[in-house]
Amino acid sequence: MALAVDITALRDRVLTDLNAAHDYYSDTKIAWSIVGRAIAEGRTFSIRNMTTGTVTTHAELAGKSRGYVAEQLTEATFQQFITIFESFFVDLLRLWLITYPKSLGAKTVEFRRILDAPDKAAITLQVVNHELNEVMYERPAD
Amino acid sequence: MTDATTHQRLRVSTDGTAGPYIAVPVSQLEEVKALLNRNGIRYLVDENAISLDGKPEIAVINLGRGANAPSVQNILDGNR
Repeated sequence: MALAVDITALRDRVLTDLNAAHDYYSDTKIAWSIVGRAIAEGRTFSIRNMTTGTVTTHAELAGKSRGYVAEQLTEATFQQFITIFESFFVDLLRLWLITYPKSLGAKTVEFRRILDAPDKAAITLQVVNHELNEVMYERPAD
Repeated sequence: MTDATTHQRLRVSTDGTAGPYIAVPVSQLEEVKALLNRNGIRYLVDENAISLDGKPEIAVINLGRGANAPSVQNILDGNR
């Protein structure tokens, strides 16, 4: 029952994160659209980077904005979706393995770690985290 | 403190979700930064200054989410 509650909470958190990422994508597209409309209606502006001194005019920004929306923004949002999914997947596996750790029964733990751990749950968590790190960060070829 | 370009009172704005900020003409930026420094106020100046319709460039000083906007406003008001 606790696992079901934890998975539901995880699902809710991830859906919130996905919605926020999608809102950011939509809001940014809208903001660029408003900028484009303002320029088309004759508003002018310039932006000076106070670090580099580079000045960007409204005409230059309008030219760049299409690429920003069609490429960078879309790619960045897609990467964010992947990051959120990866995080969800690892957290789901962690919840599952902590609840059903017997699939890791063949793993060995240094005796020092057992002595340092306050209880069995802490040792289980260490083993689960270690396994997840290996799964997520080792090279595919390995 | 008064905005040198609009002659209006410089205001600490609290709209948005990124914490209070001060929009200040670039010509006054160093003066405002010095005032904040003297009062131990932490801040971060936006990298870009924007000029709209040929008006003076405006820089944005971000005070951070934890900033005490009324206190900073008092500091600005006290420096006339």
